Amino acid sequence: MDTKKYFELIEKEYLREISRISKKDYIEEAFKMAYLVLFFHNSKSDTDGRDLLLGDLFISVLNRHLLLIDRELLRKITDRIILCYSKGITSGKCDYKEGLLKLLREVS
Amino acid sequence: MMYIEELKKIEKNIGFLIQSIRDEFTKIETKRLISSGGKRLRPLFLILAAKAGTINKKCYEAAASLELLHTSSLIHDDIIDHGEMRRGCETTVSVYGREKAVSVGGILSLFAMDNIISLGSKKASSAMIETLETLCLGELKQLDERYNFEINYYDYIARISRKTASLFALSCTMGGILSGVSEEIIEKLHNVGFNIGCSFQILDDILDITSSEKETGKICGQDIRGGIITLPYLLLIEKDPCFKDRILSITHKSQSFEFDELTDEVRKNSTLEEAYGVSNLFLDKALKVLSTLDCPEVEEGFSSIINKLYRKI
Repeated sequence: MDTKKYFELIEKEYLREISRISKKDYIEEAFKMAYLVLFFHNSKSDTDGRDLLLGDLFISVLNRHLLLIDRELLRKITDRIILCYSKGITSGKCDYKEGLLKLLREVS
Repeated sequence: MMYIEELKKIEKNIGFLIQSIRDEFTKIETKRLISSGGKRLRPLFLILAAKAGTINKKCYEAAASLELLHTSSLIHDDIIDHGEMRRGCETTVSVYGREKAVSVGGILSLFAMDNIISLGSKKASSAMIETLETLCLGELKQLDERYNFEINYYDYIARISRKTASLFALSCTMGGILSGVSEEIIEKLHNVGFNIGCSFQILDDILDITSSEKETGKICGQDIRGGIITLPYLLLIEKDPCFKDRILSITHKSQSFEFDELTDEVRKNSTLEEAYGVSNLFLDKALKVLSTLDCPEVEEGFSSIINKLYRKI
């Protein structure tokens, strides 16, 4: 797995944890899609709704990606994304990066 | 009213499904939105289509999930359109703000998709995923086309196909798949849903021009104000070069009265009748496909909906 990619995506402080994880390509792709769902849905500069729609689109893309190859992983990712949204609703702010890291540990 | 039993069962299944949403806020908000009304057309289409085969528990579960998927897309639509009221109720975004509305819509969408996948039909799940992708891509394309008034009839039909007809087609396709009918019948059911869906969107676009805010809870002429051109405007553009020039000069900075003038002109013109005519053509197509199904119960069910959508010209 290209840890640098996720390092760039999920901020520097998590580098050490991420670098220890290796996984197959499709898991990496799925993780990337989960990230994109939350990234776009948490956009602070979404003036016309484009980011919101991209987040929605990546929910479908993620489901299509995993539907036939790993239903179990799809469920785990779905649960984790839902948890990120729930935390956001309760606390008023969404630290989805932390949630994604937990997911990464879970699926590795 | 017809389908009383079917609608009762659909409502019961939606209720059950909402109860199993784990996030308490999303559960309460979904209940509020669902109880504010809605015709339940998408789940009803699934059940009517399923009458071509053997209706089973999974059909009703999928029907309920489709309604939640639809609700989720409405929550996100209202964020994009800054919608304050829907079905006479305040929208999620207007009550709780953007962030919570995004999250509730996201949870609902993932939850409903997971439920459909859990039914165990890969074919139905793939159809659902493909449709949702189409829907999102359609919405994104619509954003790109805002204030681009140089689109033609075919662009418009392509847009409403992706935006609305695809979900109606999915309802019918899923009804066919889950009730175990042949590929040929599934294809026909898909066409029935697609054609009714196109008609439905055209009528909705006409309503945007003809209705009062009191009737729909929306401001009249909202489509053109948002830079979205619909069939009645397109038909008038084709007929009247002056109208075309005026519409092409419109931008997002135009004044409110300029939009109102354009909408007024369309309202007074015969293009509304022509738009009704196009809607009727799609209904004719749906009826034609229905007549080849050799399934009177399905034909009767959809025909009764189609007859309500027909407009005399």
